[in-house]
Amino acid sequence: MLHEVARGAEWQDHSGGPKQGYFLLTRGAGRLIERPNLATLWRPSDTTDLNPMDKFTTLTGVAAPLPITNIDTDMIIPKQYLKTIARTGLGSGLFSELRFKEDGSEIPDFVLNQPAYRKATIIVAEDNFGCGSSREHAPWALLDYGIRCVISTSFADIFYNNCFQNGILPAKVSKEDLKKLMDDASRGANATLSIDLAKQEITGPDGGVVKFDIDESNKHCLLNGLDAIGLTLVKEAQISSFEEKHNKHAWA
Amino acid sequence: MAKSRTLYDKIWDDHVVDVQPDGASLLYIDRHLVHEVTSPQAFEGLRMAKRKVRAPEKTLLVVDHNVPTTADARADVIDPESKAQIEQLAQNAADFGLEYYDAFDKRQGIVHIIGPEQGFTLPGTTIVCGDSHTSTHGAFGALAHGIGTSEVEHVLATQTLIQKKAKNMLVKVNGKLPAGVTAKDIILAIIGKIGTAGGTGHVIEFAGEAIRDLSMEGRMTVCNMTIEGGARAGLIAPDEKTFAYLKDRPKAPKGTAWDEAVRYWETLHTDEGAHFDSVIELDAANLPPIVTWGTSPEDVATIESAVPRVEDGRDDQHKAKIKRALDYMGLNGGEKITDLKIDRAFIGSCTNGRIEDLRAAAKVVEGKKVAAHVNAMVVPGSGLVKDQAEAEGLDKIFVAAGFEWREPGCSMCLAMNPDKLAPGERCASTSNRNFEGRQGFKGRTHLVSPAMAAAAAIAGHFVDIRKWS
Repeated sequence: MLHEVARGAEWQDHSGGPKQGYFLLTRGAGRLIERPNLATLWRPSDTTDLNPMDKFTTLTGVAAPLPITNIDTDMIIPKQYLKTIARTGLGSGLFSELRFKEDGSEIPDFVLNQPAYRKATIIVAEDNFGCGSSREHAPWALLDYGIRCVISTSFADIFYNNCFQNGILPAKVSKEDLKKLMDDASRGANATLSIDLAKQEITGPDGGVVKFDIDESNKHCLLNGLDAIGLTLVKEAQISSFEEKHNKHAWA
Repeated sequence: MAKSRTLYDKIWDDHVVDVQPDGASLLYIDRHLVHEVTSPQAFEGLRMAKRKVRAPEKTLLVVDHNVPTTADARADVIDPESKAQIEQLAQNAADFGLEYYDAFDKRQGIVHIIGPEQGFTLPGTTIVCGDSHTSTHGAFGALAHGIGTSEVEHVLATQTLIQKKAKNMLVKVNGKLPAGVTAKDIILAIIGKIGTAGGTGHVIEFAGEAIRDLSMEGRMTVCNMTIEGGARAGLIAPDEKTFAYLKDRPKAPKGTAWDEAVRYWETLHTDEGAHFDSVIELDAANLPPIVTWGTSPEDVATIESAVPRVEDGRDDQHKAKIKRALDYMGLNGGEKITDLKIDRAFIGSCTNGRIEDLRAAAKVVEGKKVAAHVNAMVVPGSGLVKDQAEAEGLDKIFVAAGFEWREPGCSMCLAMNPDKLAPGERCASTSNRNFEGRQGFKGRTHLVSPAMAAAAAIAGHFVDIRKWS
């Protein structure tokens, strides 16, 4: 395992106060060393309990509004963070070109840099979230930052699948409902949404309820924290018998 | 009488191992291409679960995203993270017994260029890779699409993928392309028409006279950028051109197996009367060269037109999108496309790094000089493309004109290696994405065809290639 350990660095958790601590830096997050001020934003305490195979049942948390169309995976996690060989530690690079200036200092206007949204666990975004590159680093970065749910009217196909591999809920809502939720998410300290996956409902701060779409198999896997490979290997005999016939083709 | 099926339906049906009640299917995967960026965590997962690669002979590894494109830098990769990722791929190949092309192998190149070159890509197969531009292989009538790293691990372990069947979309490109207008202009025009989410949830089959007339290289360019229109996979029915391209490739079937394969491949076309969920038509005969002006591949303009203004937006959301793109691109709106001056030109990538692309660019620059303020580079898509180009003397034409002639790799398409734009630099690029920061932090990308990029490098600004002399 190619991990480096940074000792005694100062960092901040969701509760706000600076702390002394140890944390693991992956090679990707090794960028933290080059841009030490980013370390103050890294929040391992919030993410250590997030495991891709954790069940997703309900979630209540702060929703950050990102009223941008076609948010691509290059924007979610730029290429310099793709050089990691680990899945963890990418939260520091989430939206980095929107979050940080060239010198590594924060861009104060960016939503996740605003005090009310630093604890966000939900993102509300415009159409076609996650388009572009297939990089699973995008959901890894979201998860590592602490985001467990993205709400939009539509998602790009590859990103959408990648979310379910990582216990992130991509919730599809109608255009009208997205407008409501975007308004809800714009309320700063009061921008709290509650999500109930079993009921496929999102409850806003005023108690208004919005329905979201998800297909049954994805919902089942999220609710139960199921590992796709394990599920498929149960069908080993079927795969083998298919393979035996299939391999006889000249082109296979 | 069997039900009429699309090409996609046929390939899908031939690969279904199991179907769940809600329609989620277990699909058998024939070919798995693997590169260094999206695979380390997948192999790590296999190790942790003590799993093997189920079908090593159906798996091919190559290094492309991180490799520097100069000979010296390749021999000694300085960036420790790039180096670690490259070494990890070699280690994974050795540990799991997989075929691997390293940076010094003649067969090395961009994963989507080497698959077809080796005959690894074949009609009627299912092909995946942890890379969204896997759609490229659809040019051969293969069902090919990008997957995430967890799915890479899933395919390595099980040789299958859990999939929901997509909808069928037909894009018919009628008529004959005018001289100077290329496959790149076709696909950019299509993306401009349907939008970057237009194909979401669909597999797109490309058909029509203009598609049939394209070479295999041109068809690969079209299918490559299908993902930029939101569809994970593009498909073109195989024909004589497909078979001629593949015959005698190292991994293609040989002898009677070849004949048997061709007989099957000839059945791979959409049946008359088959249902498409949507149909789009484009007239190639009236298509001008296309240049993107903004930060999404759907932000297209013809070479004769101008950059849009904020007030051209359909609604507030669209106006905000135009404003954001103009700000990023350093444009006011209203500029003529031909007035846009460039700093860099990049010819290469899995979209346009093949021999035909290099020939087209060389034809434009022969006997001319790159403008004094422009830095221009050509990066062949593979070692074999580079050899072929050098055998034809294309390298000499490029170098004489002032272009840099590089070693194969992904290069400045995504700037994970030393090739990248500096902040504010404007680039005429033959690659596939003009996203913010894609080619370098604050870099400004305009997507064009190889001939258009070459002409812009010489003139120092975009020009209408149809008027080039």
